[in-house]
Amino acid sequence: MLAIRPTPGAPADRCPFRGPFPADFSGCPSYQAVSFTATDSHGQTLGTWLTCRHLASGDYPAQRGQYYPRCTLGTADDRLSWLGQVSLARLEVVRVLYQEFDAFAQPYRQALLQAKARFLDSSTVPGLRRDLEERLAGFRTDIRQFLEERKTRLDEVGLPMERLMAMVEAGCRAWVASRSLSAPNPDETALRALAPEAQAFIAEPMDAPWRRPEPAAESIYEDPILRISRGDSAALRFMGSIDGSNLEAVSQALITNIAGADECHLDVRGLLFCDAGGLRVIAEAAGRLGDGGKLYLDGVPGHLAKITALAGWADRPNLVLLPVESS
Amino acid sequence: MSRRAPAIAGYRHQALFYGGEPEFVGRIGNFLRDGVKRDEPTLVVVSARKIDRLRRKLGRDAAGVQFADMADVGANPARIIPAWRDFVEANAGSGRAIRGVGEPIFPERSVDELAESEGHEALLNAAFDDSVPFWLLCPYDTTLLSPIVLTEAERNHPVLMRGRRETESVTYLGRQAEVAPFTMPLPDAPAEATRVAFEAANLHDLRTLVAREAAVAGFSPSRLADLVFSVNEVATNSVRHGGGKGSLLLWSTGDSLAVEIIDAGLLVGQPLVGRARPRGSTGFGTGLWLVNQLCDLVQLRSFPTGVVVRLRLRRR
Repeated sequence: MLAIRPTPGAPADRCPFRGPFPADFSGCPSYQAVSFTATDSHGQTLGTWLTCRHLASGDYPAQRGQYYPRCTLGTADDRLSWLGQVSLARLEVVRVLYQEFDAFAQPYRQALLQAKARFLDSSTVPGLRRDLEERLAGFRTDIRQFLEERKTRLDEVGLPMERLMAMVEAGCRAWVASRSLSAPNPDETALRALAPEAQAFIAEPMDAPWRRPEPAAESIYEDPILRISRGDSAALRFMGSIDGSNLEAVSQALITNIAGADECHLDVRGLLFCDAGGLRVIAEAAGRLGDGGKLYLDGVPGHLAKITALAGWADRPNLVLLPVESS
Repeated sequence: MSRRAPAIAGYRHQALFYGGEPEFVGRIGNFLRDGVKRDEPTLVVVSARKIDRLRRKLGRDAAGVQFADMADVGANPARIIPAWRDFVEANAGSGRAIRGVGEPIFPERSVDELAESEGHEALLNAAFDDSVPFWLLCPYDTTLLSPIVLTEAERNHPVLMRGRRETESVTYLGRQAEVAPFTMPLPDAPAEATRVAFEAANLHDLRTLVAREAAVAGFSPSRLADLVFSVNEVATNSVRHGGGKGSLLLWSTGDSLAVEIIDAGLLVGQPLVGRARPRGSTGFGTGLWLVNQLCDLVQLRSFPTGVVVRLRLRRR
């Protein structure tokens, strides 16, 4: 569901959920499960929990040393804009790819942590560094094979294998050099080689062009999967999913809010799903604008553009699709 | 070039039985050449290999014929009628008769594709009336197709041609053929299929489930989105017209996922549902039209127990 309500008084990018996350967590549409393994100083595993890829700790600006769970994607609106850009479909594929990677990496994790702990404990003992490096080299070889087997799917989600491999190489070098058991921050150069929205699949993104400068607007309609609000630059902003359960509300909102205008914008950057009925009421709304009237759809996700074309609605004179800005 | 009188008056849907490729090339080549002589707009939808043979046979005359690969147009047989309709519509004002050659049935078709292709042949009888002279020839290779398939072809075509002999089909089903495709039995879904019930309020959960299953099955994001959209449209039909709820079965078949949606509805009086290009914004049938464009195969049935829609999509 949408998880759209900000916590009153909290920073706008505060994560509204409490970790650790259950295995079947579905509270946030942007959620991306990653395993977090805690160890003691000897590399012994204390436990593995599920956390979210996008969860980081944030500083309260006014209170030094006070932290809050921060969403690296941004605010509730930003999360949906990011998701609109990457698409639910792409995120779903990434989730599965990560699950496969997690299952693959689990056996290596424990052995590597212990080798690193031995090396940190007694770095003067000969051979321990070499043992660690050899284990890492084996791990890297196996990762390469793992990625090669998934090359097509990785390309399709915007995570080209060679760029991921560059991150793995840089990460391994940094980890051997560090005095800590914890994983190093991802290499900035390697991360920047990915598109910003794809960076967020892997780590905290270097840039977040999907973030919205304008504050969250007042909702005129809200249900568990859809929020319609009035935008500053757009007549209406749709975030979430339009389907048979809320089609009537969408139709009403369009009738009430864009009647009589010559030119009108609908912000659909955060529209994650729209069925044929939803597209039809939008096309009808465009038709009501009359001769010369234009209804612009700002930030149309790729699949929605495809469906509009297949339905024969893309070449209507009153309806103008402006695709989501590609990065 | 002198204009000759059209060879036919109204719509003629004719099966042509041939024995092997040389006869195909000879007979179809003559049919096409005759059309070119009469300056009749002609479209041929057959395999790429046969297109190549026909082009060579026709030589310079090939320029007067449009060709389309059946693998592009008719992988999902439900997309073939719209292609014919587009062609007939585009040329209806030419004042000339229109010719077509379409071979939707060939041995490489899977059992399910074959069933839908036969349904398509039956529906072709309802797809055109006599307002425009349109001669559509459907070649059947008697050396490669089973006798059952050839018998079915006789039931679905009012006019048959063997060698040079043209006969009326005595087993032609006529208007009855329009409903036959929707009552053909479907093989049972496998016992291990994922099963889930749905209603209007949880279409979102249904989409989430289908997306997960498709991602686990290795779907590309684009095909995953096609599948989710298609399932949602069919399930929405169940919610709207099929008693407000339905159930979904999902299973893997090699490089595809099959999804079946069952409801308590009834399909009446719309033989060409999903095969008519959406016009205006009335919207009826747009959902199934889109599903046909997105899916590799759509099997639509109306049984006494309710409506069953089985979709098949490849991973990429």
